[in-house]
Amino acid sequence: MNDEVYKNDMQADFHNDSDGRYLVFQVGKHKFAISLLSSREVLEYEGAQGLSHSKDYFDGIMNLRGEIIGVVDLRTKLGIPREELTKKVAIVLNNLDTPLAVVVDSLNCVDIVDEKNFHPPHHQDNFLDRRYIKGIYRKGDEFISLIDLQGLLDDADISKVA
Amino acid sequence: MDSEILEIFLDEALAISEEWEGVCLELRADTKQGDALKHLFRLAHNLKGSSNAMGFEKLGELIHQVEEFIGDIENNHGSIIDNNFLSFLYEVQSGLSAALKELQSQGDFDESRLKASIQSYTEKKSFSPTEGALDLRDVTASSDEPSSPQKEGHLKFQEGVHPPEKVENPLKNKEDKKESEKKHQSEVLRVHAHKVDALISSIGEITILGNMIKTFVKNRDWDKLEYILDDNEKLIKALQEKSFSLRMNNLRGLFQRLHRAGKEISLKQDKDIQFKFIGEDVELDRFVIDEIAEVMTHIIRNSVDHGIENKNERAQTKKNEPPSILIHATNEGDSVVIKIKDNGRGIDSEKVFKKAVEKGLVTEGGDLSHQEKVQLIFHSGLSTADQVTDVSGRGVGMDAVKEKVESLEGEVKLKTVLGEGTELNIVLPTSLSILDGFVFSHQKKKYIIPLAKIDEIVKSDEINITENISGDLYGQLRGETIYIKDICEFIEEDKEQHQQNKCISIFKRDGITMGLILPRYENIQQIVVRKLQGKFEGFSYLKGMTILGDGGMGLILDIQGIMNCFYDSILKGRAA
Repeated sequence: MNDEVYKNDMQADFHNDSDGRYLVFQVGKHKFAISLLSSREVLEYEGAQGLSHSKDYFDGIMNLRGEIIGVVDLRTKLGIPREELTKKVAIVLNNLDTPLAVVVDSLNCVDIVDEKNFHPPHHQDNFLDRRYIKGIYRKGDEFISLIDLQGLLDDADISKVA
Repeated sequence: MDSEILEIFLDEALAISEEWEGVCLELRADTKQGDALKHLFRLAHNLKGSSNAMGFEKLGELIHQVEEFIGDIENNHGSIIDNNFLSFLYEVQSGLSAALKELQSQGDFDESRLKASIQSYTEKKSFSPTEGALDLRDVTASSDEPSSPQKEGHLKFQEGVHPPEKVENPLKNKEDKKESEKKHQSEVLRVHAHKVDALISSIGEITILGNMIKTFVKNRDWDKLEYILDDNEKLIKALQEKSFSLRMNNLRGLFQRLHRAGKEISLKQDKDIQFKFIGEDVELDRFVIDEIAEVMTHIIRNSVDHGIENKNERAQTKKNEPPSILIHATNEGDSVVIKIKDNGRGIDSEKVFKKAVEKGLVTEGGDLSHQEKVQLIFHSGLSTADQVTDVSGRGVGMDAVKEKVESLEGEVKLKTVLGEGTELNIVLPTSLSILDGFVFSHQKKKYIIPLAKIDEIVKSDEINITENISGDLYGQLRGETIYIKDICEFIEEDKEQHQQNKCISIFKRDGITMGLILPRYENIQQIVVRKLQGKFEGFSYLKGMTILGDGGMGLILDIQGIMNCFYDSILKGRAA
């Protein structure tokens, strides 16, 4: 029961911090959207300095104008198979207790989506814990998943558990 | 009366009054208010203490009554307060702040208003017995009950009307969260206005210089530019110092508190101890002062209670000098050293050792030196007082002292001679945010050890490193045996094969010398510490991070933790 409440709350929060604009990015063949307001900055990814004792999806830390930001490789985190495409873009996120950025393959566009156009997620995307897919919308013949990066990162450790 | 001390008292009391008001605003009648009441209790207690120390006994007595009322609510009413009490708390605050303002402007004050509100509360209290308050609470609680019970699961549609048992949890969590947020916010600094003015004028100068730099760059006037960049550097350094000083405070307040605590027990135990304080102008980060105040008080209590012998014992051992405790603070490089020295009986290392054996902390046969035996006193759960007295021996022991000081990046050093006295040195960093760091690199990563923690740095070829059967490394330095480990063992990096031409940093601790092999020395530079936030705390070998002069990132090692590991492994190795 409590979980249910929690999820509902999350959903509400998740939609609330959005103004209808979504940042669309790509990892492998998959397209994802996050609320534009939940990203702080997008930059070209030039690699990070690794840390020992970290999880495989944690790339390390980078220097963003004097601030130290952790970098999570979203492809590894989501378990999407590695392909030719090399990662290039880092999205620095807002409102996390740890300053973090995620690395994705490419940035697509900013979409304006009405909330009523979101549909419940398909089951076919079973590579990913469905908890973090909040909905899906259609654009032409493509489906774009609304991903709860904040929840995903909040639940993830970046260091190996001692 | 000393006006400076009066000012300190006023500062403190006004802050308490303000905080009191803040806590009251959060209070709600007829619900459990445990934490807030504890908070108020603590405030009252502190205020009582400082009032009495200032000689405002009447005020102290009144505050004492308030304190008792709060304690009574906590103990007898399950921390549930009624409106009556809430308004009383407000009255206390206004009475107090009126009295303090009077004291501030006229140098004296009249506590009659405070007295009146306490009296009227006492009367009301005897009129309305607690049962009445309880009844009232039941009535209000039942009227809040929802008219129709809701089914679980459909919270979406339950705007505002929730079954009470479900409301409780989220609400409580939210309140807890608020509480912790408040704690962060409530760390308010009281700063002299002139310090802020100096800061603002510095920033003005830097802005002007910035404009000049722009002009010179535009005109490609490199000579002047170089000249002005020098100035700029100086200004930034000054700005840095000025802004750090906002957080600094002298030790006068702390010393006063310690003096009082010590004197109180000394009188109680008829020990007639002379207290001497030196270095009250030494400055430390306010946060650090607040944090160590309690353990310092504990140390003083220990010294008075356990350290100094009673009069008979002193006469028997023919100690002619009067019993004394010296508290001496000095600046030493980047650190502040606070020395607490008594001329009491000292610590009996054999007694400590025996006790430790009894408690199973060490094995009897262990070959420990005097110093190592004494160090056992820092082990948790060891109190050598034969009897637990009301002064010390309440479970907070020297281990708590050590833990606290280490959590502040400090160090505790203990020297004791049986029959002659004990000297405790607490070494604390002046600032938590800037330090001189020893930078070394390994596999493209740069690691930093605070220079202040390192006793000595030697080249690896100056030490003849040998390896025993189990792979442990040893070295000899000036005839002394050094235990050696490669730092890579602690930071989970692959070791480099050859040990030549490397630095070994030497750490001395409790009579044991330890050396860490560091892969590649880079340089020594000033480090601005970034604390680990959130998930970064999972990297337990790190204490912080920084951006180095070349724009790269540096990892500040938790050298204290690494040394603890190292030390434990040595002791374990010996016992085996």
